[in-house]
Amino acid sequence: MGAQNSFLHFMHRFVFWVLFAMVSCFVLRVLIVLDLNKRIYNHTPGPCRVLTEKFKGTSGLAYVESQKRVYVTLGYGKAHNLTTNTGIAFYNTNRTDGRSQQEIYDLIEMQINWNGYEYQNMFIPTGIDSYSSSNGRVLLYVVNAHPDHQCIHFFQVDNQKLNYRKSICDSSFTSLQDVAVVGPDRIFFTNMAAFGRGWAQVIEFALQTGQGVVYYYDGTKLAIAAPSVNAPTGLGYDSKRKILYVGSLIRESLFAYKVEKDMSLEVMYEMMLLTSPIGLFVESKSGDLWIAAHPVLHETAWHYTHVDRNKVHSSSQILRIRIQEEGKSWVTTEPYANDGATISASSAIVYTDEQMIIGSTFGRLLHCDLTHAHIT
Amino acid sequence: MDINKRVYNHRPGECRKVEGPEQGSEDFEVIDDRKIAFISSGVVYLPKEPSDVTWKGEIYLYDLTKRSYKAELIPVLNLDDEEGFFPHGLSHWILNDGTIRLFVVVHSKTFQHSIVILDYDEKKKQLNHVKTIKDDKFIRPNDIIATGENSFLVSNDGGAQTELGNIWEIFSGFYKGGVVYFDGKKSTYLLENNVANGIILSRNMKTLFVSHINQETIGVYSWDQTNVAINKISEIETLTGCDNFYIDHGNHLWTGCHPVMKDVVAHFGNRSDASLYGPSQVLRITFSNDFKKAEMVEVLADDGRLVCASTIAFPFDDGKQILVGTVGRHPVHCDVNLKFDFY
Repeated sequence: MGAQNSFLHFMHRFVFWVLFAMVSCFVLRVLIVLDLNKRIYNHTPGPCRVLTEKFKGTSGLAYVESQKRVYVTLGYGKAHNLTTNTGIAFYNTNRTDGRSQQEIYDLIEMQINWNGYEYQNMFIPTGIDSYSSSNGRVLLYVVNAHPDHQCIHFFQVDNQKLNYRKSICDSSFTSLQDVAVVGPDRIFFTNMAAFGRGWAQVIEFALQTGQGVVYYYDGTKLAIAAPSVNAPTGLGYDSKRKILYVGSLIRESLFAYKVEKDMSLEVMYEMMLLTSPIGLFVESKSGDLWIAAHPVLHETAWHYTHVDRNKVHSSSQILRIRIQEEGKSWVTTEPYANDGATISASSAIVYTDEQMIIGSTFGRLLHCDLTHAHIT
Repeated sequence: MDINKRVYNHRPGECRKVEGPEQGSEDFEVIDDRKIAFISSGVVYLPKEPSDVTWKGEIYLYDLTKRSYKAELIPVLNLDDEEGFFPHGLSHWILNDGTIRLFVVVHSKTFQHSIVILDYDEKKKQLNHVKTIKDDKFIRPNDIIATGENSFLVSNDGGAQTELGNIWEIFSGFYKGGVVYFDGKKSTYLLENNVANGIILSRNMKTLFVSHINQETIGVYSWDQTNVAINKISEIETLTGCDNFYIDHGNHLWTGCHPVMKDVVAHFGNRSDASLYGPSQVLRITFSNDFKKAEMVEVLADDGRLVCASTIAFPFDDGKQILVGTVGRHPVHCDVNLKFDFY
């Protein structure tokens, strides 16, 4: 009886301390992820201006080299119950085409021809990418983040109009984020979390269960390219080097995958950023990466759960990663950072011709000139 | 200790290393109307053994009107203890006859502390020793502000005299530093049981700014020299370890900071190891009129390979250039091609 009592006593103490250690580790991990000891100190790479603040969201950007256009998705805030129009617009980056000083910064909203698509009223675009074929045809692939209609929509650009082509929808799509094009109608896209929105998603992130997925669509079939990624967000594809970059919100890192001939993904390396990447842009010539990030995650969490409060900002950050020695090393610079007063929760980035266009989750589209692009 | 932080590099323009002070540029003292800056080099801080100090303590001069990227070594004459001269914080006062008087926080190889007063002979380009002041309230002096020909404010950045003692002080939170006022004859505590690194007075001499570096805050106090009294106005949280200060003509506070403290501590532990370096950050802080709020612009951030553990920065040439000083390495001179007022 005495022996049994002391054994039970030992087991109680053992179980208590194991549970204590587990809970302590969990709390520590949550505290580190929340970035409570971080803040953003403002700086710009040159003069900046706001291109639009009409929409509650300018969260996706895609650059089409052949047209010198940046396509912008508008109105992502509607997915979080904000009142806003949604749609797609473009910005012409060409400064020498004869437009006036005022017209240079115009954003052109596009008319969408839905060709009778029955769910056209459930369109909340976010991630976007493009494919330019050799005959000059430009195709756009747009993530629809509507809570009840998560899909990838395929469009063709017709001057200032978009013609709807088709959609991929699936019940497993709960939190679509971004898309990357690897060929005509061949795309990778990310589903960030098993739960779409709200506190369920916050708890999923806190537990860091890693239930995000990278999908691959080959034009006819849908497949899982990378299962169990911890909160995958932005995608960037380097077509010259056949590398797919995937951002991880919770790990605060970037995964580089080699895209094999059969389109399977092989992990090359993980780049620890210590900031949460949301949008990615790859400079096709140099292979350099641009990242739009949420640098202070507790601010982000607060901002996404209080979207209707204008004063609840989230910091914005743009990083530039210069890849060296074929991915063996890299140099990181920070061209832009803001505490949220100018642009809140940066979510997309495009760089071209010493210009930077920054999109945000629920707010403004910003344009900056880079005074010293070679050292920025 | 900032284990989840890192620095993302950016510069305000082209930057170049300044030759000369290879063993540090911990503090600068700008003489605005002469367009020169003095640089203290070779600071000794919590040395393990006197034999670990393999460098000389020196004072350099930099001409802010030339782009020489080279600082000139200025001889210091008639010192009581030449071997024990390792300068730290600097300040100056212009005497009635126009002479520049330098006030220098000095440590020895055995980490004894004193305040050395030097007069600058412009013609001969030398510093002449005037007086050495020792006081039991100069516990571990760091920075100094001259308030008259013989009076000054001095900060103590802690109480421990050894590395182990300092570690204990940091982790326990029982700080023994503070701010002391010396009126030429006697010293008075203004702030006790605190940590005070860089200190500076506003240009109108009414507001005192104190870097509480271990708490990553900047304390703002009103300063009454007549009554030798301070009153706390606010404490601004910076979330980075700000070191020394400079107030520019627009009343912006410039400071060199240590954004990732663990790397700076590793660098301090072995100053001569070139593979260890500390990240740097230059902030320009603008206070609200009541000093209760502040806006921060990050002018420069570096992982340590160009600017290693920044301590001080200041603008000159109408804000088109800046100089950045470091604890134990060369300073850096940068052009500024950006605007900082974008709200």
